[in-house]
Amino acid sequence: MILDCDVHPSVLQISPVLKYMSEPWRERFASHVVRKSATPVNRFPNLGGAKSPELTDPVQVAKDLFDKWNIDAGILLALESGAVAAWPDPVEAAVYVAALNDYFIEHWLAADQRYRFAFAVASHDSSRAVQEIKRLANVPGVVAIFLVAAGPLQMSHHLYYPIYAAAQEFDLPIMIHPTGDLGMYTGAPTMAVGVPRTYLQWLAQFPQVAQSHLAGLIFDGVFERFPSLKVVVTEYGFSWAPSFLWRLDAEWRNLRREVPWVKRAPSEYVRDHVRFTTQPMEEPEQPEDLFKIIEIMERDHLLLFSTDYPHFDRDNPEIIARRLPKAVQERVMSQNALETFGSRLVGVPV
Amino acid sequence: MTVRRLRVGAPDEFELNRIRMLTAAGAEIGVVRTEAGFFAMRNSCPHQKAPICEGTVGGTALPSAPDDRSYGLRGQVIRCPWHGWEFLMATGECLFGTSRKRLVTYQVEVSGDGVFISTKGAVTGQRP
Repeated sequence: MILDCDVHPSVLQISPVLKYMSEPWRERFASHVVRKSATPVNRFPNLGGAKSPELTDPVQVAKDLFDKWNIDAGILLALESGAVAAWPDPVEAAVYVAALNDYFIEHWLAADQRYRFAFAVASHDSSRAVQEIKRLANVPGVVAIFLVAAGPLQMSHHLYYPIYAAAQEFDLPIMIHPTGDLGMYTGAPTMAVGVPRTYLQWLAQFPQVAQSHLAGLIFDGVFERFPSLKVVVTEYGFSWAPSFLWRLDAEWRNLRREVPWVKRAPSEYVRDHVRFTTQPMEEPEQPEDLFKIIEIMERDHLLLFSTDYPHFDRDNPEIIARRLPKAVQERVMSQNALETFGSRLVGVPV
Repeated sequence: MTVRRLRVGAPDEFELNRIRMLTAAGAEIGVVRTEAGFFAMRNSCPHQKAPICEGTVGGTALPSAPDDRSYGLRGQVIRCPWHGWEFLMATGECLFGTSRKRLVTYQVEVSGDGVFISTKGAVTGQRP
């Protein structure tokens, strides 16, 4: 079985989305240009990535992704919702994201039973995010919450707590994914030592942001407050995780008294609460160099296979399966995802 | 090896929370009087062999709810000066499961006007 934990649907234009808004908002968004992420349109000369219109066709995507690679199910994260990370207006962000959620539920989940959905919520206003969680939590096919973490705050900030309480209540993992705003705006999450010059440098440094969020979630006690919260770190890479967790564990042993609410080693919180998607899979010259890292992470079943289809740096399921040690292939390709997303993935056609 | 009971001074010679050093069977041993009693330990942190008796004795932050703080174990904890590892001086355990490594400790008794420690080996010297 293969379960793909990071697939990106597209709509590319506003017109099909407007019907999911009330009239005043239809008027407000009528001439809106749908952006595929929060990255400013002229920030990089070439962002790469597929732009062909068939990516808006769920039947075609199912054929090109699921049929071609024998994928049993894929979790959709709509990065067009991620674009609101750059928006200052919390109401507009919530309205827009809700309309996109409805659009993808109606047009994509209904189009092929292999689709699953991580509906988006914007962090701008946690009460609106909670409303959206309550509205969509029990929609068939929904498996997770795509948290659009806007602004400069670590995810451990108390403003996020109502979202985590709702996620826990409905047993929905929180998925975080780069949304394009990193280092791009005043108030956006900053990247260390300034703004990278190229798209290449920008992409390669995503782990900075995930590391910052993870350290915050652990040391600010979020997993103590929300003992069944799950966080899926999506497309931030994974090979950095073991050394990062060694560092966190070491600093905790040295300085536990600073954070007395952290009652276990940071790596234990990660084992119980956090998972990482595989794409972009690292490609060392000697593939077996990566085996040890994967084996370390798979002691705790931390890895979830993902393609990132249809983005330019997507991973090929056949190649990725071969880059996994045989003993963990089944876990990484499917079993870990089944355990992470639970009964909401039950019914996946095999 | 025979366990030896050795006098290391009179109780009033121990200034509160100040560790007195002595050498026993090739090991440096620190003895201290705190508000919780007398304790003795080897001057070698099990983490990286730092001279732990140059660290501080006192209490620590107890496990708490997020954002809450409570202080306890007063006079029972030694903190290594190198990395800050904390040990219970009574047992040598690293606090709250932070590590399985243990500090070597010695039983201390106060009897009459003497402070005695039990060691496996002879005490060969004493320095303040």
